[in-house]
Amino acid sequence: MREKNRERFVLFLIFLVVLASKLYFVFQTPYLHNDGYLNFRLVEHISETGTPLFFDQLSYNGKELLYSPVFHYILAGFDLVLPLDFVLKVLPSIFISLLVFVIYKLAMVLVNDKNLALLVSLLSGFVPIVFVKTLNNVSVYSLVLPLVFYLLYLFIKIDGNVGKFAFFSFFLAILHPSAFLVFITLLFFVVLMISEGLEISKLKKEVIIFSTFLILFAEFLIYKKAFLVHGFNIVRNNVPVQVLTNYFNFSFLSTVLNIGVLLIIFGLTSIIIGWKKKRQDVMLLSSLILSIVLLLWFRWIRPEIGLMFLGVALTVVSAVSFKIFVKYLNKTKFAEYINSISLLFILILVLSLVLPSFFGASHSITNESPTSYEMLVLEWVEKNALPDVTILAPLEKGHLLTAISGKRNVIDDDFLLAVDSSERFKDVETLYSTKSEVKALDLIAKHNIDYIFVPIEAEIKFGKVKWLDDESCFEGIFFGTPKIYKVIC
Amino acid sequence: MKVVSKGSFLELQRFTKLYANKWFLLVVFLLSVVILLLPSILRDTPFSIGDESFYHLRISKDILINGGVNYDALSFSGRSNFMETGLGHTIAGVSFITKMSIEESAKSLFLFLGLASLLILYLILKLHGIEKSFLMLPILIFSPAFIYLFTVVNKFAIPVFLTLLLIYFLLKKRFLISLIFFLMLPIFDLSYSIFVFVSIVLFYLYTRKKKLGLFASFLVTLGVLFYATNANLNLISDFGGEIGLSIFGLFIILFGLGSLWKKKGFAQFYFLFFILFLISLKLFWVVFLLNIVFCLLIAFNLDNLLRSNWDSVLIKELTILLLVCGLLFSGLSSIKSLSEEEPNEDIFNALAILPRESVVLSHHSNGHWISYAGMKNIMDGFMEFEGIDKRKRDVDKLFGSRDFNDVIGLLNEYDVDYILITPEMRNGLVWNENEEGLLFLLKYSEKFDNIKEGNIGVWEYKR
Repeated sequence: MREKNRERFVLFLIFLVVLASKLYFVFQTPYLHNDGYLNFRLVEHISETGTPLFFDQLSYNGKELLYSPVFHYILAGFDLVLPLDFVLKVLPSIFISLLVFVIYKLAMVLVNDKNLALLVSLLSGFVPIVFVKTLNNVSVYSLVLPLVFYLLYLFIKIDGNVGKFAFFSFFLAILHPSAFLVFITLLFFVVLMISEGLEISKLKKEVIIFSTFLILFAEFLIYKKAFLVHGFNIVRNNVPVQVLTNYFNFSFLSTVLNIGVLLIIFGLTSIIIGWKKKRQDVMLLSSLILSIVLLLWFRWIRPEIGLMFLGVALTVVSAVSFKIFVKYLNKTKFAEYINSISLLFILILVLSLVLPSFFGASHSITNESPTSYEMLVLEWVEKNALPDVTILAPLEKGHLLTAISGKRNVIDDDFLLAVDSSERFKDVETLYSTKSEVKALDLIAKHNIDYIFVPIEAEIKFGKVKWLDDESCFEGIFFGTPKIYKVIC
Repeated sequence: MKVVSKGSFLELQRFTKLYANKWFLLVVFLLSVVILLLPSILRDTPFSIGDESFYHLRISKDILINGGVNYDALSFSGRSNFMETGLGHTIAGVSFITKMSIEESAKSLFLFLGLASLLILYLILKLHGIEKSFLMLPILIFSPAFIYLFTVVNKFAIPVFLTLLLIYFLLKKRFLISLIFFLMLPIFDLSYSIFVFVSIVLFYLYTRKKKLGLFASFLVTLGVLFYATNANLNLISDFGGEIGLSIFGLFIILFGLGSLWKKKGFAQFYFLFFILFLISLKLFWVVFLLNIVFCLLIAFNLDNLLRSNWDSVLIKELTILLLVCGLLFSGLSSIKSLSEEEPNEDIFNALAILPRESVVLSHHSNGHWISYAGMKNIMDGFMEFEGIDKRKRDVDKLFGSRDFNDVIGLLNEYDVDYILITPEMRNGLVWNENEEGLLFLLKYSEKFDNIKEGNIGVWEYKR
C-alpha cells in the first residue's frame, strides 16, 4: 500500500513538474501564440453567445467554418468561473500534462516495472516537439494526444474496459478528426498481426469494427460539407499547393532534435525487439508509428503534428529497450555501479529532452507570440478603422489580426472550405514581394484591401515593401515593427 | 467469455419474424413513398431536379402536342433528334391518360416505377426463398442511387424496372414474357439494352460452364474499361458523387468479406459486385444496377452480424446502431442535396423576359433550362453532336476573348440574340475575375445592353 502511494506521489510530482515547466513559459508573455487566436475567437464566441461560430465574416473576407466545437465548449465551460485568458493559458497545459499518467499506464503494460514506467512518463512530458507545439497556443492536440494514447492503452487492456473504450472513442471522434489516426492505426495493426500470423482476440476484432464505423460516422457527420466539396482531396485539407510543398521540408537533424536522439534509438530498438518477440502491444504502437510515417510521406498530415504523435509513441515504446538495457547492465561487471550508471543515464536522457524543449519553448514565446507594440497597433486599428475594412497580413498573422483588430483578413491558415486558397496565398506572397506598384494595386483591388499590415516577419522574409513608399496611394500610420499603411488611392 | 443472452436471441427471432410479417411490405412501401417524395417537398422551387430532366420533360411535351419528335429546334439551335424517345412517349402517355401536366405526370410515373421496382424485387427475393434478404428493401430505399433514380427524371428508371421484370420472369421460366420486356429496352436506351443482352449471355455461359463464364465476364469488363471513353470516378455519394454508393455500405461489405466469402453462394455476389463496380467506372448508369447488388450484400452482411455471437453485447449493439445511422445518413444527405439541386426560380425568371425561339448563349450546363423555357441554346449537356469540337472551341473563345472583332464574328456566326450569365459562371465555372474575357466587353461595349441585372444577368446583343 505504502509502495503504491509512493508511486502515485512520484507520478503526481512528475505531473506537477511538467505542468510547472509549461506554465513557466506560458506566463512569460501576457499574449497567446499567433496560432492560438483562432481558438481564442471561437471560445470567446461560445462564451458570449452560447453557440459556436460557423460562419466567420472576418476570415477570408467571409468564410464558412467547419470544425467540431467540443474542445471550445469545454474551454468555454471553464470560462464561466475563471477569466478567459487564464483558461486559455492554463487548461490546455493541464490537458497535455495529463499525458504523463496515460504514458505511465501504457509503459506499465509494456514493461511491468514501476521505476521504468515513471521514467518514461517523465520523458513523455518533455518530448521537445510536444512541449513546444502545445505551448500557449490553445491547441486541441493538448487534449487529443492524451486521448489517443489512452485509447491505445484501453485497446491493449480491452478486457473489462469495453465501456470506457466505447466512451473515449466516441469522445475522440467528436473532438477532432485525429480520430482517423486511430482508425488507420487499428487497420495497420490488423495487417501486421495477419502478416505475422498472430491471432487477434474476438473482442479486439469487435472493437476494431466498432471504432471504424464510429469514427467514419462521426467524421462524416461533422465534416459532411467538406467531404462533398473536396471529395477524397479532403485529406489535403485544401492547403495551398505552395504550403503543401513545405510540408515535407524537414531535415533529419530537426527531426532528431524535435524528438530526441536517444528516444529515436531506444524506440526503434524496442520496435525491432517487440517484432522479434511478436508482442501485440509493441505491434500496436508500431502500427501508430507506421501510420504517421505513411501520413507524413503522403503529406496528409502537418509535419509537427505527425512528429508529436511519433515522439510520444517512441517514448512509450522505448521502455522495452530500457528494461533490456538495465537487465543487461545487471549481468555485466558494471552491476555493482548500477545505481550510479542508471542515474547518469537518466540524467543524459532527461537533459537530451529537457534542454531542447526549453530552448524551443523560449524561442516560441519570444518569436512566435505578438509583441506589445504589435498588439497596440492592432488595437488602434480596432478602434480607428471602419468596421468592414479588409487588412492584408501574412498567413501566420491572419488569426491574430482578426482576433485583436476585429477586421477582415485576406488569408489565414484555416484552409478548409476556403475558395482558391492557393491563389490567395500566391497573391499575398506577391503583394509582399513585388516591386511593381501596378501589380500590387491590381491585387489590392482584387481582394478589396483597405490596410496593409507589415510585421517584422514579412520584412525579414521579403525585404522592404517598396510600393508602400508612394505616399499618394498609401498613408503610413505606424512605422515601427509592425508597420501599417492605409490604402488611399 | 462468450456472452449471448437469451434476450438477444429472442430479439433476433423477433427481427427475423419481421421480414415474414405481412405488414413488412406495406411499411416498406409507405417508407419509400415518403423518401421518394421528400426531395420535391423540401425543394424551395416547383421545378424539377437537375438539368437533363428538363430535356426529357420538353421532349415529352412536344410528343404530347405533335405526336412525335424528329427534329429538335432548340438544342444546339437545331439538330435532328438523337435520343431514344421511349421515356418521352411514356411520360406523354401518362399525361394524356391522366390529364395531368407533363411535370406532374413524370413525378407520378417515377414514383410508381420506384414502388413497382421494390415490389418486383420483393417477388424476386421471395422466389429465392431467402427471408434474410428482405432486409435489403429498406436499405435500398435509403440508398442514394435509388433515391436519384426514382426522383430525378432520367432515362434509366424505366430500363431498370424492365430489367427487374425481365429477371423475375426469367426466374419463373416465362421466357416469352422476358423476351417482350427485353425487346422493350432499346426503345428507352440502346446501350443499356446491349449491356443487358451481354449480361444475359454471360450469365448463361456461367450457368453452363462456370470458368468460361467468369473468364468471358473479365474480358467484357476489360473491354469496357479500355474502350468506354467517359470515366466516372465519383462513385461514393458521401464524397460528392450524385449517383453513388454509401461509404458505410462499402465498409460493411468490405468487413463482411472475410466471413461471408467462405459461405456458399456469397462469393458470386461479391464477384458480381466487383465486376459491376469496375464497369460503372466507365458507364455511370451501371451504378443503378450495381446499387441493387450492393444493397443485397449489405443486407446479407447485416443479417450475418445480427446472427453472430459477439463477446461484447454492448459493442455489438452500438455497432449495429452506428451502421443503421450510417446508412440513414447517406440516404438523408442525398435527399438534402437533391432538394438543394439547381435550377432555382431565378434562372426561369430571367429567361421569362426573352422572346421564344431566340438564341441564348450561356454555359452548356444551362442549356437544357434555356431550351425548356422555349429558347434555342448554343450548347447543352448532350454533346453527341456533329462538329462538337469546333463549337466547343468557339464557345470557349467567345467566353474567354476580349477581342471585339473575334467576339462579334462568333456571335453573328451562331446568330446569338442574348447572353445569360449565372453566378456560377462568374465564380469559377467560366470566369474568375470581374472583367475577364467576354465580361469586359459586356461591361464596356455599346453593342451589349444589360436587360436584366441582379444575380442572373441577361445581355441583349444589338446587331
